[in-house]
Amino acid sequence: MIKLRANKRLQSTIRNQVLWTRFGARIGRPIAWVTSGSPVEIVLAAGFIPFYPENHAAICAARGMSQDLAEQTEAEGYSRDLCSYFRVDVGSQISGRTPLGHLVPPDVILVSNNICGTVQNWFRVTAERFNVPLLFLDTPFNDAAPTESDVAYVREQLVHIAAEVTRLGGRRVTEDRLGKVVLRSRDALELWAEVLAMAAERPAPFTSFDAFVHMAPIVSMRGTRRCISYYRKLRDEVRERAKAGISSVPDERARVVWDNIAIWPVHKQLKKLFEQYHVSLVSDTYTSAWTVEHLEPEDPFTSLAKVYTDIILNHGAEHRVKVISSMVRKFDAAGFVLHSNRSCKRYSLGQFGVKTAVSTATGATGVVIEADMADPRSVSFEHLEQRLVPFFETLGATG
Amino acid sequence: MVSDRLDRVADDPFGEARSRAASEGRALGLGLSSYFPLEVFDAFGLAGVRLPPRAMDGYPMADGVLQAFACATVRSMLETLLRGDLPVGLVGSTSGCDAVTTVPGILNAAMPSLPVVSLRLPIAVESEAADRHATLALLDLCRETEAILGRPLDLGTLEAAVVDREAVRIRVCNLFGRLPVRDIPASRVYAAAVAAQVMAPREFLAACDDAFPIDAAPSGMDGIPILLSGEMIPSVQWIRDLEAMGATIVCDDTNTGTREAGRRVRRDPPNRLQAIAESLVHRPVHSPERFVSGRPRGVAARAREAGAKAALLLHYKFCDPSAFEAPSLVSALKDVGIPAIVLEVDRQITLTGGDRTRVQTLLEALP
Repeated sequence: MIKLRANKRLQSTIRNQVLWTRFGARIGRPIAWVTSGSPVEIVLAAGFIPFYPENHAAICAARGMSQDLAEQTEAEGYSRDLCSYFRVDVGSQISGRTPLGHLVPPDVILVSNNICGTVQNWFRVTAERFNVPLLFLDTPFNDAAPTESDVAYVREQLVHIAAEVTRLGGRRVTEDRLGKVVLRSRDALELWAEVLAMAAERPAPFTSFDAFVHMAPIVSMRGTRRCISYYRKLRDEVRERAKAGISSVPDERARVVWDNIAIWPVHKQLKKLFEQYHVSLVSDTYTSAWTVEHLEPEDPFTSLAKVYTDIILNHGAEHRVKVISSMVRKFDAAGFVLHSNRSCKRYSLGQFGVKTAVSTATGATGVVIEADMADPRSVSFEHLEQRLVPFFETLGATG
Repeated sequence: MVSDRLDRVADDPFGEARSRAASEGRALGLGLSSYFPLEVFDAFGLAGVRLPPRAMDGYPMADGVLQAFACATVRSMLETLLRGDLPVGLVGSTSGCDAVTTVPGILNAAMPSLPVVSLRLPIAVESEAADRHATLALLDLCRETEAILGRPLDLGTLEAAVVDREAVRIRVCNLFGRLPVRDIPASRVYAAAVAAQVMAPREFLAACDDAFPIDAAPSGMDGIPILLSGEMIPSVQWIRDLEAMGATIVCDDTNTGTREAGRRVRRDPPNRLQAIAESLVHRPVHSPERFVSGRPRGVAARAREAGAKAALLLHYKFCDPSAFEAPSLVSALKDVGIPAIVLEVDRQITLTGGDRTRVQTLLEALP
């Protein structure tokens, strides 16, 4: 199997991002800790350097540090039933331990509840710990598309947030300046969408297992030129692979779609299992959340209001059924895997109904697997294997 | 006893909801969260009710549509609806915690014929934008309800319903306000609060007049005074169990009690829906998923003022808002000299052996 050249570039890109954050803090650039679904374009336009605690928690989990860190948070009285990203990230704040060397503390925190209700509590706890201002973007949950009043409500908050980040030490966020950042975000998002779409080729030159790791820059660097450069190179490489017929899994025999966040504690083992059974994970609802359309630099505030309200986790189960069904058809998948993620209620509750509805709509076979995105105590690879192997076999894929 | 009526309702709220629908000839309008504005359902000609957790060994039907890591209150709600043994005409949900937020989608998939409307309240509460959005959200809910029921909102009925529901909330708050003087047992007050969720407002007020006469002789309870904070109580029996152990609740901060009953609808705005919407986002004691700075200190101050010597935090397993709030609440209580423990409940509606031991230890450890 030919590995992606971009894997090495990803490591250096993340390392440089961490170094840039430290350097920026040293020369007086303000730091904003933000959620993955925050309108980061505003803090970038204000000259802040963003840092993503969710990404950080995922890195901690992938490096095998999550249990120790989660236990630090639990020792402060937080329940083990709470989101493992929260427990890991706050555990890192408490202990000072992180695979990134050390964390640069925030000057401000920006949270949006468009991905879940947990983050508003998590980031409140963090803001109290660092004694810094907390800016909150409330994005009304929708069953369908956001209404005009939703967009107006969110837009008004964005304008307020722009004024606040300026007041808190940033540059003035003009529409022109913000528009330029939005344009860079749009370019990166489009490139990322191109990369993901190429998994529709047979054999798939790039899978969601690749996407789960290569999503890091789109989450944490969108709005920057470095992000565009990264995805341009990745897009070119995946395009080359597609042309050359290079498959991400050997002798691809089945294609499936994934719902929910990756299972970081067993990410590599799962990837191997899929490869062993010649199953390509061709698309997923998680990494494709950063392929939004309609970002318009000409009217940045309204455009950001629409985009950040209209993301998958801010919609109900019916919308999820449509998204997964569309992926199944577009990527010609015979099955789909729903990761029932103990740490993420917003993403997981209701998946039983989603499974039935997607199967009815597409004829594809679905399976629900139970695990956790970051807490190894709630993940059993053996259990996952017992669920997935018979599922693969029903798709005609054998090891 | 004159209080029998409220106690009976509290012990069998599902039976009361069923018989109320039958006697009034109206379908139930079931509010899924403690802060759904039932007055709106009343005004649409439904019998507005909320229901406490259902007493049963398990939730087999809910288990078929919902993973195990959702709290028992959500599972109980789903079980009740999936069983279809209540004459529910409309279900009203609100945006709130992640579990509650997913419920309408789950119901739509599992029971497509059951109409569900969602009140998409803002989570941020400290801005004019949030107030405006809350009003628009309530208008959307009314339009959706009109479309489902095929009848318009009756503004005259709404006016009366607002007054009646407000009178109920004030009465419930007044009852809880009497806890520090210990003239009535908390279990009777909680029974009234549960009954208020299912009884017709005027009938509830009349039953309260009978059950809690102003000139009643003090009962002289001498248990250890405590604060009870948390979600909906599992049952009135759960409170009676605490009292039997020597705890006297003198201060309430629960969704069954003052958190919801503390809501007040302003009389002055010309638009009644706007007043209701604003009352929802300006509740004096918010659910913990809302951003309210200083809430733990406020609860601690109330507990101290009421003379509480200890605090019990009633949390449902898998309830994220409670789990996030617990450490800061415990810390704020400790700062004012009130030790607190978390009692985590799941499906049980009476105090478990383990929880009894924890409560007993707390009470015995007090100076």
